[in-house]
Amino acid sequence: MKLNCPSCGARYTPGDNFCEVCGNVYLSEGDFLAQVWCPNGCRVMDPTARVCPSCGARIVRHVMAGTDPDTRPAQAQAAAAPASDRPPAFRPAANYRTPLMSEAPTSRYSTPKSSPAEPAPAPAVSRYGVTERPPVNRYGMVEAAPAPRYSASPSSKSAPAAFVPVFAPGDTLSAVPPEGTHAPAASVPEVPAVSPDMVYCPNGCTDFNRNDLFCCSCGARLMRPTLPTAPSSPEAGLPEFMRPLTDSDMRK
Amino acid sequence: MSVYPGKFTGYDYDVDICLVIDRTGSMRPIIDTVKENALSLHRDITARMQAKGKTVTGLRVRVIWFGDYLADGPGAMVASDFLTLPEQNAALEQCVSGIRAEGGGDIPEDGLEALAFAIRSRWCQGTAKKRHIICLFTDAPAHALGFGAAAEGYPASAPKDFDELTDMWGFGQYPGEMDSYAKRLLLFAPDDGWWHRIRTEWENTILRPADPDGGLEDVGYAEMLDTIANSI
Repeated sequence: MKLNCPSCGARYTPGDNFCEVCGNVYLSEGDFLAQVWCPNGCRVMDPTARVCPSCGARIVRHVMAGTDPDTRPAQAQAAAAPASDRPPAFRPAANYRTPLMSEAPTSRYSTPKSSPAEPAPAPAVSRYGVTERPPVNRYGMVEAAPAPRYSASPSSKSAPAAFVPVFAPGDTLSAVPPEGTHAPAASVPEVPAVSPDMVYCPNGCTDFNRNDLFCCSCGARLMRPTLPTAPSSPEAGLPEFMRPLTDSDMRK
Repeated sequence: MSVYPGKFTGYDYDVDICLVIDRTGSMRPIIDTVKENALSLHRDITARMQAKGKTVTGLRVRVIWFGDYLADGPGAMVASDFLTLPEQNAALEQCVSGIRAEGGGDIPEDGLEALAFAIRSRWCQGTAKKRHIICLFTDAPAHALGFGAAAEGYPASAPKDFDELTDMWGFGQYPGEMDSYAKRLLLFAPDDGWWHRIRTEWENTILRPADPDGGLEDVGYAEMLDTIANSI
């Protein structure tokens, strides 16, 4: 079976991916360009085959680059359309970009470039205009909010219904420690300097057994940081004929 | 004997193939396939071309392994120069066997930068009929160009965005940096993100869809060969 290239008219044999003369990707099945693949890797010569002539597997058919019949007419129309209506293939502006899903930050490295970092949420303000911050324990961890000495609720039995606590703007609840307790220290435990044999508790405990996996005091997993190793040369370990690509390889 | 009796004969081809291979851990299947068949690549390609009534007078192969600049640093992209086969079969075998599938960091890789490196390879410029084939294998989406620009070793001359990379490849009346008649781009990659865009917008390009994170396990050596031979 011989077919003609739809672009230049040259004859070709099914199985070729590109036109010998003009490089066009070939058509098959009339006006529909497709690439056929046997999932078992057999050679498939007939682009119209439904099953592999060798192994009988169902042929995988895939539309080829720039040949989707749905997009071709659209491209032809877009050539005469205003620049603003053209599809990305025509690239009317040097900085034209179509946002893609792959551009979304998907890795731990990326942050959205176009949008600034979100501002930190404003601290909650009580009905009395007092900034509320949850108390933290001596390790800097948030604890359940302690009950205030006097409840502002009219239904509370601990204070008269008409009682209204007096706070000055800027006062914080944490500045008023519950009765019988000490003011919590809002300090984060200091991580000691890294050394090769270092073991430390993330909660700052010191009475753990350094051979254990977990702290015997608080149950936290003991930390054994990996020391950063000295960066090795990019050439290290490469085969003789291989080398790292540099900027000079990218220049014209 | 040719399986195409009566087909035109007499075309001699100088063929340059640039194998651009994602070297992250999940790509072990296809990397193993390349390693196992590196020594026979010249013989198999010429045999397939002879079966089509074509003669390969010169075959050179270059290998580019790519990863992720942010995760792998200056060694993210390593490459050989073009190796002339069959004289340098052993060198090619050494190039591919010495690479371990590892690194890569997050899921997407810097495949577009690797493609830019491939486009700017030193392609043969003889008077014979030429084929300049970039054959890219990856099972991962690509980062946007410049994603790893902050990393050490990132090439300052890399294209700044996809439009600039498209200019390098060429489109329509604009020839780009490669020979318009010789260039071929064969993608074995997931049909999404940038790879999908290349498939739909770039000329002389075909894409064989790959399962994300599947290591192109379903791509056999025969299929790889057929794709290359059918594109020469």
